[in-house]
Amino acid sequence: MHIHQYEKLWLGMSLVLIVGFIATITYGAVGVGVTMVDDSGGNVDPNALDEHPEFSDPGVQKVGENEYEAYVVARQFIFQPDPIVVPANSTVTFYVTSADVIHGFAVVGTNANTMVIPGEVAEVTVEVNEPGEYGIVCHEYCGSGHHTMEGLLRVVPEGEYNSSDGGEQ
Amino acid sequence: MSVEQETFADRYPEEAELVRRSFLVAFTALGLGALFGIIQALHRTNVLRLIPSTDYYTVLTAHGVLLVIVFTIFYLVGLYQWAVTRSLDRSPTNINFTRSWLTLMTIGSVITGVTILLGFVDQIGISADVLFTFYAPLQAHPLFYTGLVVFIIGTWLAGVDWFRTWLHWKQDNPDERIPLQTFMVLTTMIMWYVATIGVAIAVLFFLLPWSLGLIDTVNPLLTRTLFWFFGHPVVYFWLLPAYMLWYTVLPKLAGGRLFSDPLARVVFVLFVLLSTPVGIHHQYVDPGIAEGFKFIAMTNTMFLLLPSLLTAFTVVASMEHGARQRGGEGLFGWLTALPWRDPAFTGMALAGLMFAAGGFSGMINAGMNINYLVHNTIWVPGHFHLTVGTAVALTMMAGTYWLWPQLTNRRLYSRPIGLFQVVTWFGGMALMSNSMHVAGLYGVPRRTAEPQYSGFEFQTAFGSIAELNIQLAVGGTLLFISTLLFLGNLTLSLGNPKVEGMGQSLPEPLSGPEDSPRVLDNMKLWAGIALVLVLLAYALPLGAIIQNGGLFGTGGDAYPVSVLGSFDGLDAVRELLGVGR
Amino acid sequence: MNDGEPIVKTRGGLLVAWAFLLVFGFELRTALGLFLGLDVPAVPYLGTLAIVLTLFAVLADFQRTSAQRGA
Repeated sequence: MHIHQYEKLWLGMSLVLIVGFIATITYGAVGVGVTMVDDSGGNVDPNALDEHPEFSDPGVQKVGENEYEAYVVARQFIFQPDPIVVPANSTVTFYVTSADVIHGFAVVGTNANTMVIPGEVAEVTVEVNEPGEYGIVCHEYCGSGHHTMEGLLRVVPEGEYNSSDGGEQ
Repeated sequence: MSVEQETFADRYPEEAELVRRSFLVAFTALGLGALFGIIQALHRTNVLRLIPSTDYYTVLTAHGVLLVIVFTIFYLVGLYQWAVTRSLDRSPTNINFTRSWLTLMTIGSVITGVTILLGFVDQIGISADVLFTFYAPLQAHPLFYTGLVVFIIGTWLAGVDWFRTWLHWKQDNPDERIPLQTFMVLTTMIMWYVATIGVAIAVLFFLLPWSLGLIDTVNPLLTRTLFWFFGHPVVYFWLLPAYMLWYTVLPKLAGGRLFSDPLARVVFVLFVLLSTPVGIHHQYVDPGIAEGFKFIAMTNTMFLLLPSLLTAFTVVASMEHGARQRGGEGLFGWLTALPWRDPAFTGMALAGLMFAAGGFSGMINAGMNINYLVHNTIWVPGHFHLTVGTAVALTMMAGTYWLWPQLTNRRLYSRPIGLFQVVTWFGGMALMSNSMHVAGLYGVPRRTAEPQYSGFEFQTAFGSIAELNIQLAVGGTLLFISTLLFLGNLTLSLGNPKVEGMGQSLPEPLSGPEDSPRVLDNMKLWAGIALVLVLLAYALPLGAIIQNGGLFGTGGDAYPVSVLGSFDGLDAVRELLGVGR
Repeated sequence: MNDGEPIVKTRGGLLVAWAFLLVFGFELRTALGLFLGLDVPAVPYLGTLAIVLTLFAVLADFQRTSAQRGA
């Protein structure tokens, strides 16, 4: 098959670009260590969340030195708990599920971004740094009140965080 | 009247009528979809809110379905019917069969379209405010799914029609290579058959019976994954007709010939093979799907860039060849020798240019871990308004300026208005899509009637959110005006008298099919490999989803998205059938 | 490009070039903003750009029509 010389050059450059892209993404995955949301969160019954040991009382728990777990339930049209309070300079693993339809959970201004699917639990581990407040949006259409669905992630100075902040508000 | 000047309408009057009918449905959907688009653009930016925000989602569903299901696909079937008839120089085996699939598609579109629009009327308990992706547990009225099924069956029959025409041609021309346009049609349809497997299973086995109350629950991740099995290749169903125009018509408009027929065939074969086993790249942040499957989808997607990059080369090379034939000289000077006054040429050239930008933002979307930054933000609509919204839609409009006179034997009402129309689309889309990409990077979500939140502010790197909103509103307004100019120009063309000499031939490529291996024309081989690749990409993830969550899910209510009227006839049917809710 | 020949040959080409350069300049502002954090004020910048490009367009058109008359 006759291929023009310039076209062969272009084909070669295109393949280099493609392989380069795959390499950068692979680096992001295994070098920097950005893992994707996957199936590690397991499954739940969305109709029986109030019987679930963790999701029946959504909130933040300490599970180790600077390590926390945040159980979040998304439902039409709120996130529970609201706000989600965590201490600064910690590692927080979010477990997010839905009580009804598919929602989104995105911490605005960060790369914490996941789908929330009834029956599935999204597990996302993030590094929390300085104190501040972040908005949380639901970015997947979930019904007529979708545009009102927002939450708040409040990062408080370590001294100010006490375990009772996590579960209630 | 010489053969050169004989038009498609002269030679194939019945087929021309069917093409015109397809385009009529397509452009009606375009107009209505554009109207909804401007309503959205003004609403979400808080410039002008004419409807309650709850109705925004009815508008959004209609905008999506009308534009990317009805407009694009009716245009495809019209264009492809023209292309097959013309390139094989042969009528369909049975023109009544052709009429029947077109009718089925129309009936299906009307059923689904009306069901969506009834969402505006609260008193009637029928609605489908589920958006173009109809994710369960959101549930539409059964007529929504029924209309889609009828529509898709119509498209399947269209493929049967074209394959049949080709096979009969092949009997009469046993040793010849498949003419390029027919090759493109056949490969597109193989891709479509493979692609629609996913959505057909989702709708026929799960969503439709579920909406009728015949099954109680569905597994939302399963039906969502089956949708995206279809949801990625459908974008190539939109794109490949535009590629057909860029490969076979644009070189002529530029004054030259297609650079390479063999490479065009290779490109279309690559789309057959790679379009479908990538769907999981729309689900990079879905729980319930292992990272390994997402990584495979990512690598497949990156290789799917190749046919588009090859197309960029061939299109530009063909344009340069045409320009030099017209007397253009110099390293870049040849650009000035192109026929920029011709709206068909300029529309396609600008569409191709914007496609390059859209392709780059698509590369970002494909970047598995980078996707965290853009998923479900308004960046994503920014991307696809460049690709389907410009590369496809603008090319389809530009192509119409060239094709319409050959289908009607009437001149276009106004070439200058046509040129102004395509340039306005270009400018409007640049404004709107730019604002969407930037706002998306700041975290502004898509699919939202009011992205103005009370608890926090979006942080900008420069300018302001208010400025981005104005940009989006202005851009959207320009696009709406451009659509009106297009539709108006075509409508007024119908008032022109019939004339002769409107025929336009298409030149032979510089490098013809004889320069390429015969295996390229082996449709069965490509279909087989495509199915194997799809199996490899989807068997394990789907198996895992079903194993973990159950075929019908772990239990969950349906969410009809409107307040039902007091009478729901389906309850009577359910009682009759003895099935519960 | 030969000497003496106008830069643009048709008004259509002029329109397209004008629109393309305006869009290019507009996108440049976004690139400066996102990559360098430079906040170029929108209205003054785009207004000036549009005026400058229109002036160039008028001049190019004049060059075109006088070349036609001269030829």
